[in-house]
Amino acid sequence: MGNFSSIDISASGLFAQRARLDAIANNIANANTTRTAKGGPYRRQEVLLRAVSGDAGSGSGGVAVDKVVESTDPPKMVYEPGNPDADSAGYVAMPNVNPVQEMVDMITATRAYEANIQAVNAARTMASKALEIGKG
Amino acid sequence: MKIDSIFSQLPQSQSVTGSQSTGVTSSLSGSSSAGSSGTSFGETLKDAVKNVSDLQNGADDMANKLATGEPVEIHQAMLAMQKASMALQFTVQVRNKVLDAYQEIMRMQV
Repeated sequence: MGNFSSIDISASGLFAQRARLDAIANNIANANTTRTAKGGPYRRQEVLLRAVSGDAGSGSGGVAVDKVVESTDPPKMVYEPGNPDADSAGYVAMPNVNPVQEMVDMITATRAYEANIQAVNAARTMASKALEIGKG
Repeated sequence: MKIDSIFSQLPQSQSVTGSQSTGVTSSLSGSSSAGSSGTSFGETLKDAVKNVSDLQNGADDMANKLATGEPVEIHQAMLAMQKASMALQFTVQVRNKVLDAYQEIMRMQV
């Protein structure tokens, strides 16, 4: 168990939250995208996190991005007959992105990121406190 | 991570200083054994300083990459710098302890 293992674990958490924020940014950026490489409207992306095996205190552990999955929610059908992507009935399949949900996810990702930074700072404080052993 | 090796070194250095001091007391008390086997303190300190230097270089590298726009996560760079700074503090602390021990010996009345 290295002295920096908790910092490395927190670093993995920071990375995971960054990945989540990337996905959220992607969702918001594509909230009105009707064309994708696979055809059809953009589908909301979600990051799945996986715990890295390792007991606490053994020096390993952390979190990793398992994979990014696309939401299977049905697309929003918007009536827009003039749109080139409209179907025969005049409906356009819009991405299943809910801006409110994205904003809430953004808050949780930001706060989780901050929490990981707090953990790093706590580890740093503990290390510098350890250096004070025997002082004064 | 290389930093782990510095910390595995450092307790060793403490035990080296520790065994040196017991070596002194034991030779004072008439025993023949003095000093210790294993790596010398100089070697240990050199390794430790080298490891700190490696960490500092890594942090510098990260900062450079960040400044030149290479894809480096900000937190990675910050953590590298933080680790380098912590390792340096740790080494300085060990150096202080060793210097204290040395000066204590040098103050001895002959």
